[in-house]
Amino acid sequence: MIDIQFLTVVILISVGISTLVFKKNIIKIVMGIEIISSSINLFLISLGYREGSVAPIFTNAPSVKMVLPTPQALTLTNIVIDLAITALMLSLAVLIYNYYGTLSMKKWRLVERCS
Amino acid sequence: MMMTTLSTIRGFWDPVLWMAAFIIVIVITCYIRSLGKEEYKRGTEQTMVFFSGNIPPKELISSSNIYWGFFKAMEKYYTCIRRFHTGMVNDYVYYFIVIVIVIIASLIIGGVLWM
Amino acid sequence: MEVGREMFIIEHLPALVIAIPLLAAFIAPLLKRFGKHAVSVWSILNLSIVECLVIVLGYRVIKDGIQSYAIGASIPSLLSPNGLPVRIILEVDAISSFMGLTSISIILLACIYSACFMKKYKSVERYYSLLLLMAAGIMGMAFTGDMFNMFVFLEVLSISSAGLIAFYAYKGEAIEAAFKYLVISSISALMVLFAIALLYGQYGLLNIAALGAAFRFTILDKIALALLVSAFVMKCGAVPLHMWVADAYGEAPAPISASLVVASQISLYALFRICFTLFGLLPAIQIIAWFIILFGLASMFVGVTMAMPQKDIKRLMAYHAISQTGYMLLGVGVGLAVINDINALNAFGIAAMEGGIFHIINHAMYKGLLFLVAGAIIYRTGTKNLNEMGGLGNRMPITAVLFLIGMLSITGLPPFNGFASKLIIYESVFLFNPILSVVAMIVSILTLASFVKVFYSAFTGQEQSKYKDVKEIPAIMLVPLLILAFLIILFGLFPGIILKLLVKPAVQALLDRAGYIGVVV
Repeated sequence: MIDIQFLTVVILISVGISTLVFKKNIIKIVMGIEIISSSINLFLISLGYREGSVAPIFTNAPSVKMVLPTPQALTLTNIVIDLAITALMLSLAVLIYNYYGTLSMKKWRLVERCS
Repeated sequence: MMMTTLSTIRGFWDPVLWMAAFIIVIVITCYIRSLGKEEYKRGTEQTMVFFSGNIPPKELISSSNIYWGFFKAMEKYYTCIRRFHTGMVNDYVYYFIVIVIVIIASLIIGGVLWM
Repeated sequence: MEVGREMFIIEHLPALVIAIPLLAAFIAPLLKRFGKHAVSVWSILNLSIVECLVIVLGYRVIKDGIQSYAIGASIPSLLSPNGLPVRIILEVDAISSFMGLTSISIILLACIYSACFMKKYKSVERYYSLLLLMAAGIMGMAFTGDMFNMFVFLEVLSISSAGLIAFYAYKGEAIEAAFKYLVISSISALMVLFAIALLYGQYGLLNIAALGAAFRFTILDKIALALLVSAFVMKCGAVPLHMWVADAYGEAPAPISASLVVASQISLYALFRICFTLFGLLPAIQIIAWFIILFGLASMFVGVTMAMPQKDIKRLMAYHAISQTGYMLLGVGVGLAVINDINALNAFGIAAMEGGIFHIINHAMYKGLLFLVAGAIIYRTGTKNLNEMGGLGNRMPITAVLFLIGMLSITGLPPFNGFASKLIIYESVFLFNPILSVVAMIVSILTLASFVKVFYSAFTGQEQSKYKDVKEIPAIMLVPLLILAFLIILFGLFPGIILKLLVKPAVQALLDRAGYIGVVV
């Protein structure tokens, strides 16, 4: 059967994408992107796991099995990138609220101003 | 002449030869135009702007009125495609998911069919 | 010592090209205390240095073959110490240096233009800092040979572009456009990361060349391919995922619109790198090729028909950017569809790819010229609405002639460069399937129609009384426009030489999968 971590990743990505498709409040849209990013972080870390191994934090390494350290570096990079995106999106949301007075996606869209 | 030539599959294209032909045609056209026409009287009804028989208006004719025939003929296409462009981010993510699923389905079915 | 310094620069060229804009971006806000123009002079200086380095790098690639660089190694050429590629490897072949040269030229000209265009805003040092970060992101995406590094630079590019689109923060529309752009960019980047994680989980490799050699083509690889193709197609702005382009290009400042064109084209390069080098031997790549051809066809037609009724001048040009992206997708898609058939490839496949790749540099030049002219009109008259402008041709004669050159180029009229690349695309795509060529020609005619509408409203027609003291734009703003027009005429007069020097090595490098992989493995 599928391991519990990959099942969680699939469930979280579906939750994140359905938040993005169905919710109209922009704070909820930001939360949806956060959920997808967290699930991909979980997916990255769980790729490096090996059964019965220890964390690779040693100076003189003994000969034991260790988990892969590369996905952990990728996850740290992704967490920092996600922080920057969330900070920028929330500050844009504040400016949108100041200008339009509403946070709902339906009310203020740049509709095609054709003739 | 060799420097400016671009050789395509079934022939070649040379901008210098084209410009030479263009200048010859322009010179002939300007000569024929300068011969004049006897029935041309400046300042009468002959030289006024043609506005389908009506008097031309004094204010600016805006550019949204150009090509109204084209837009009238393609009205069904334009209503259909304007409904497609809603302007909400939720619909953009929805189209993205649809495209991903369509490509995955065709890759798997194509791989099975050709195997 | 003289020799030592030159060898240092030449040895570390690929890394210097990415590092210099990055360092300059973080130093730029500190220079504000030295006066009003210190920041713009600093950024123009740095971008010129990067342009010279890119030209030297391109010359070395054509002379010596593919250049590679391992970041952080004791010797930069130490790629695989024990037979396995370690560290982030930058790999520069002819098409990477082609895309890098195109991008840095347009960003340099946009920066010179914005030295005068952006003079009246207070927080201009943040603008230049973000512009240099955007340049660093584009250079990083062009020159990297590592999948995760491409993801990181894609995110750097997206975040700095979103900050620049929202520059007019007092208008609500610009903030809304930047928000939508940021949501779309982060969704694409997260799906790219998901695909990279899928590939890493199976093979344990992140390097593009090493992955290309180690593929076993399971179902998970096909899912990764679908995610990567969709994400990069969304970032290029091709139909049906094109909706963000009109908002983002229309609300950004004019030099940023010109730079966003280059940013979309670098995502197009990433798509080609994945389809040709990474997944080149997959038997089902024909299906992806047909999808790319269909996306190209739809982009051409929907782009130009949505552009015709627009009232806003920059939104109209943004829809034309979508339409011209369709030409590039069509050309390279036809080349990808016949990649396994040697006879067809030699007959028309290579020619179609040459047309598509030649169109990339042509489009960057004339679309940059058109966006900068639109910025000039907005700078002098203060309005973006086509219904309100009129009769500016007498007041701004040089601008009108430059717009005419750009307009004749984009519609593909001889003797400008648009005609040369479109001719190659028409001829080679006709041999593949005649319907595609017919649609491409109809779209060309409709492009001419919509630009005649813009020329009529902006430059000819009745003169408005409120524009009677509109002057010509300042000389600093005219310089990049004149350079772009000169390059357009040059590329139009010598298409054969440009094709042989710049485009043919790029297409050969894109098709030469074994050479790219052989550098690392």
